[in-house]
Amino acid sequence: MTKAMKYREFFLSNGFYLLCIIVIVIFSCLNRSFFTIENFFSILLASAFLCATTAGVTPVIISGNMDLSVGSTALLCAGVMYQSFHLGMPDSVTLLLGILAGAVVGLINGILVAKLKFNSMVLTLGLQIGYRGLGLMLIGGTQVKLPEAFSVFGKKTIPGGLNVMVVICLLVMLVLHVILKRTKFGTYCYAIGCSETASERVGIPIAKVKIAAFIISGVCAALAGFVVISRLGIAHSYIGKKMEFDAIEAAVIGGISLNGGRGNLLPGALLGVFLIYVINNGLSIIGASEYVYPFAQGIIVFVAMYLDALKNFRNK
Amino acid sequence: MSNITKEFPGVKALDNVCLYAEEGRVLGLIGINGAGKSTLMNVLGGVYKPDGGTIELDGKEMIFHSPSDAYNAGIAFIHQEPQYFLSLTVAENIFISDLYMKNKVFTDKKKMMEEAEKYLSIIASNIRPDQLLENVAIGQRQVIEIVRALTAGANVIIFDEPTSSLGRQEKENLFKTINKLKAEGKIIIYISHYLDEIMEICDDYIVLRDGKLVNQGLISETDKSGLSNMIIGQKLEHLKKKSIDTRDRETVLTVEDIHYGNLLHGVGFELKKGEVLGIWGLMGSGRTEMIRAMLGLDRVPGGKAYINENGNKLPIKKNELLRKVGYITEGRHFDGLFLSKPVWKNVTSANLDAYTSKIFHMLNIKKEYEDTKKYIDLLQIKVPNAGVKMATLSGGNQQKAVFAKWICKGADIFILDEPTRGVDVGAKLGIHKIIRELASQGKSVILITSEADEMVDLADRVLILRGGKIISEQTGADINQKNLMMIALQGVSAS
Ligand SMILES: Nc1ncnc2c1ncn2[C@@H]1O[C@H](COP(=O)(O)OP(=O)(O)OP(=O)(O)O)[C@@H](O)[C@H]1O
Ligand SMILES: [Mg+2]
Repeated sequence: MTKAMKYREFFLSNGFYLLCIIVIVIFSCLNRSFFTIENFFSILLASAFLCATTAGVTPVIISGNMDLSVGSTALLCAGVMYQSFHLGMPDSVTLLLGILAGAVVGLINGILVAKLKFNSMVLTLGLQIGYRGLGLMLIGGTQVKLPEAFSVFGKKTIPGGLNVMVVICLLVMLVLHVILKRTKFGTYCYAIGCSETASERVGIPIAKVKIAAFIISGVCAALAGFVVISRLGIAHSYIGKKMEFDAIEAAVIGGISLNGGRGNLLPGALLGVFLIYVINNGLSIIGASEYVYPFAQGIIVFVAMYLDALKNFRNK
Repeated sequence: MSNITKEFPGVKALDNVCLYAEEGRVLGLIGINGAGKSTLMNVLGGVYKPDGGTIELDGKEMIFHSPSDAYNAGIAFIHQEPQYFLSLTVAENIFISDLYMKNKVFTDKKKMMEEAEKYLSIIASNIRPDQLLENVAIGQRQVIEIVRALTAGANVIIFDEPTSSLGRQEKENLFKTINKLKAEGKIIIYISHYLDEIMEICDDYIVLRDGKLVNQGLISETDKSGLSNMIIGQKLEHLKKKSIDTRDRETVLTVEDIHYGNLLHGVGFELKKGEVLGIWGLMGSGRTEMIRAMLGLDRVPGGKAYINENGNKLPIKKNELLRKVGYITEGRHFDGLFLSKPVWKNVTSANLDAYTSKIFHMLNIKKEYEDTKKYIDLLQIKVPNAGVKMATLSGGNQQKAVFAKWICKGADIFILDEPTRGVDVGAKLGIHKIIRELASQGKSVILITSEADEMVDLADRVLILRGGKIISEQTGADINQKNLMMIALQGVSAS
């Protein structure tokens, strides 16, 4: 192999990491306050909820389906928690009810997809309207203030100054990564995503696995909803808007194939999440116009996907 | 199994078939493409539910609702189309039905690797268990399916054309393993179109035709031609060997100096007009890779191709070449078909220009349909009509359809990689005739095959690949089984 080929090989297989580094270097040069611990923490805090949602949809995507309802699920669960709080339930029960609501949504999606053979993308795209409506009814206003106790939790930090929410969300990612890579369920997710007929032939309980994947997605969406409202201290009707697309975007940037069967949560999807928020954060620090954000994000997604395509082409 | 009946829309795939297999014996299941062999085994393996009939195992009646029911009852099934997962490791692919667990939660990857290694070494030791399956050569993926069945510890093992892409050594290892399983008192059912294999490994045989059991008996009481007569129901005519000396003919294609990883070190050849040029070598000698490199399908560091027109040798870009030739791939089962489309659309799909009108580019569907019918007759593709979905065809019939597709496309140069793999003895003859005819029409054919008699019957000239080089060229009477084997194995000719 020649030297040039080696360089190309290296560039292709690590293109995504290089891209991340380049983006960070550019912003660091443009503004001194970008490359600081405080800013790093604030990026982490802002992206925490997306870590949870991305981690949640990943098993669904890897097993060859799609969940476009996570944003609405987050809103719905926020609504449930808000109501439960209002009724004077203890904190733990409130959190539990919220998570439970997410699980139920996941169960419904899962059963419809796995047993009644709905196309998951069409189904969740349709159902999410209903979930959102339900959530809006529960919140009952465009913006409602939450009781004090709620936001207290959102401000807790661990020694070292890292927000508890961040820690939880990163842990969720780690746990799901381990689940996908080291458990029967995870292996089955990859197998189903690779080939459903083959999975059937070798006796994988396809329906069960799919339903479980959707439940995980629902639960993680609920957690994301909780993270958002406890951080803001208010529940508003914008919660979860576009969240499903951000999650899928992060997954795709991180190399998770929408055809199923391929990709890793760590480091891929995690870096995908960060990259989105690094860009947003960087742009806001250098004082770019709000309207530039989507464009910049689009470019980065394109570059990341192009690099992935190049890599796959090479491997053939 | 008794009185098994299974109907698909338009076809009675199985009609009151009874099958009796004994412990410690190998039962050969043979029949033409579409006879119902795979369907019968799919019933036994729990994939299809029969419309009628019963399955008994050790005297107990069994009802299977799913493949896992059959698996749990101790039936392992090696499918005709290997079932695998590209992005999982080889070890995970092998143990997917029964993953090793460290405890209740975690899988035991290390144990899987070790066990997989152990079993892999029985059949093909060059596959590493930690490899991703997509990095395993297509031809070797069948090994994974076989090993998966071996590890299941089943009492009944069904082999549905297990050797169609195995190399010589792997085949030998497989037969050794089957004999061992036999000695352990397992029930083995073996499907193949290679009658040599049936003669070698089986104790009993049953013959299916059109979903009915038409013959059965002991292998020791019959021979190869007896079997082939039973399969097609009439005496098989034999194609006489007729190789022509083509060395002095006009050259149509020149290939020079192809390098391919550490597989090929500078190979080149000339293809003459109207000849069948055989490429011979052991599995893994780089036959397929040479073609892929020549056509620009794999990037390689070196190599040139020229096309000869009117006596001028014109350099040609490699991807341009691909458009000029009809290339029937070794793995055509995987990349040659639109399974959810009807047969006629598949057959004409590579040549749609010929079926479109000058204005508006409308497709002449009637003509497409008619032409497809012609190929169906020619190749004896067994279908109720040309409008059924490709996916419902039996394995061998799908192969024939791909073959039809490329012949339909038409070209001056054809490259055929294992053109008769998986097709029955009757259809094989049909394909041989077509190849001869192509050559006599002045088209040039490059033929790759692992079957020595096919090479001997068809090739005018044979190039032998060994150690990454073309070490020898054989013509005329020198193309014989003994010679081919000797040169490929030892590098020297028999005479
Ligand atoms: N899923 C299906 N739907 C409709 N028809 C089918 C289906 N599967 C098989 N058939 C039909 O049943 C018949 C028997 O097919 P089968 O696959 O058992 O043949 P086979 O003996 O295994 O042939 P081969 O040697 O080509 O593998 C064929 O006519 C085929 O077209
Ligand atoms: Mg078959």
